[in-house]
Amino acid sequence: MELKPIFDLTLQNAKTYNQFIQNFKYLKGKSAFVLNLSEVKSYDSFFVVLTLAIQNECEKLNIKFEIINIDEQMSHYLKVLTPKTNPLIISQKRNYFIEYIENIGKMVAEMISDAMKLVEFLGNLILKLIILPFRPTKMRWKDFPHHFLQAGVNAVPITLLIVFLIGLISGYQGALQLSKFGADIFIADLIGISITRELAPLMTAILVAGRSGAAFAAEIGTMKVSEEVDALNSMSFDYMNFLVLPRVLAVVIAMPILVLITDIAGIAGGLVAALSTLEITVTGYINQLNRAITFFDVFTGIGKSIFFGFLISGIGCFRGMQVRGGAESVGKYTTASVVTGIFLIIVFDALFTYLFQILGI
Amino acid sequence: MKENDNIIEVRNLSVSYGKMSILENVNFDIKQGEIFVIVGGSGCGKSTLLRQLIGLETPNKGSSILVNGVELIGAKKDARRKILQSFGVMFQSGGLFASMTVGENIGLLLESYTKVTKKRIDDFIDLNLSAVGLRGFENFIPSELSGGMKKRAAIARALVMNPDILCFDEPSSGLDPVTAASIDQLIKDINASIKTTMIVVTHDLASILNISDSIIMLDKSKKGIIAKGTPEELKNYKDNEYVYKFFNRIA
Repeated sequence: MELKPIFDLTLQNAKTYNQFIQNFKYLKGKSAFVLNLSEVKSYDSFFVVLTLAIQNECEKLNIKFEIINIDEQMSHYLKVLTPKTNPLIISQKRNYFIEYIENIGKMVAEMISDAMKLVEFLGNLILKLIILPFRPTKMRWKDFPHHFLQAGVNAVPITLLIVFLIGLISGYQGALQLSKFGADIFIADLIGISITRELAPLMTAILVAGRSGAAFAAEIGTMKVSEEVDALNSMSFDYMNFLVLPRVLAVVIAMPILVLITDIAGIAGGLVAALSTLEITVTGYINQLNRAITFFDVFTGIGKSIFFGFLISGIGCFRGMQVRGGAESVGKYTTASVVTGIFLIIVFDALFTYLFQILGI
Repeated sequence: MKENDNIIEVRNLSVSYGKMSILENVNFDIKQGEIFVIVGGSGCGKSTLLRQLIGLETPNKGSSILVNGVELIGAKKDARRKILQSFGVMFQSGGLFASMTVGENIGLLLESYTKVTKKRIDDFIDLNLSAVGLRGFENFIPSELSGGMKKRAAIARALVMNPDILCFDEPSSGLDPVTAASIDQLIKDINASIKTTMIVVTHDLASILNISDSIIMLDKSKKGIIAKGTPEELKNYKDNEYVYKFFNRIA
């Protein structure tokens, strides 16, 4: 049996490959197969793949395989491109089920060690924050205004707008239900308490996590990639004092201020909803608000926001410090900073609400 | 404390990441004032070795690194800081702080660790920048500089505290041959003029043969040193085929 291709053995003609290999089984029983390359003018890697496939099939069917009329250049090409077995790779039969179980185990172990590292980092950070008032010169204050501006002042418009809209939305929804009972005036209680205790701190925290937490992770991560963190360490600067503290302090100070401002915006949003759907006056709303909200409502919201600010900025910096390697890693940990940040904010918010409920605050 | 002219003595240095061992039982001395080159193929642990020396990582128990006769491993915080301040480091990509100007990068150490006044700091910045041929670039930010200029600026920053030992991680990586040669020349000039000891990590053969006084070569499979000596000795090294191939650039 002899095959004498009269077309070019190039990738353009690769569609002949499948047909050819499929029909190979009809050669069973033949003693020899010859590939005659006398007519082949042009060839590329397809020629090598085809030859190796034929060789493979021939071996399976116990047919002697021979190539004739191969010119020197072609034979050299074939030799160079023929894969050599890599001694480093030992092929092993993979058991996907076991691998799947293993991967689950690995992920759980990773999550636990990740959580432990985060706790260690945050604990270290708390220590540094406690020491700071006694040794204020340890921190790099030069960067503080920049971060305060970025994380605090520049976040005002967007947080204002979002919490205003949240107030408006919950105002409309609440008004709908309250008017059924003729309890129109209690819209002030609903809005006042839910905004100051929950919605303003929570929404502000989520927005700051998206803005500043992600920014910190990306900034510090990029610094790690470009060896800036190594340079810092080699100069005996503490990255905590140099990179982390200015950022954390900026957010921790900015958060309560932001929440105070957004409290007002949220209540204003509620007022707009109330005025447009219910039969109450501005004075009535404010008088009722005055009776409904206590100092503690505002205070718990602000207390929570300080803690959230610490969490968000701490997690952002922690994720940034975890970056290894290149740009891909920066993206991965920036995403992780936002996910971990928002997740923990909501978990702790639930915890706080429960605790305050029990304590009756 | 010091009995000889070795500025660094490394004894029994072992490094491992988790279960993976990178270096095992590495011993060598670096003489005062020499240009000491650490070479080896990719992944052999030469950058890892440098990171141990400059204190970015801590090696396994039992390792010893003497700097000027003082033990670095296990030193107390302040003593350690003092030892590490005798190193100036130029990182592979420069490691300049991207948010600061070149001048601020150089002035940062003076500002933080000395009582030099603002006016004098500018003088020091000017001095160090002209030493590396970048005079007048103090108000540029690192991203405005080319690769070679970044490395020069990084050298200026490494020089500013008058370190005893200057370390270079891959000084010629990513540079064209002419710029790489000019960095080599700068290293030689600094070494000749202020007698600073230099530790250079590289695998650029031209650069190795041009600048080195003595060389150690690391190997991935041996997890340690396979050859040490002067460039001439290693070029004619017959005991190990890989060393000979490396220094004569044979496949």
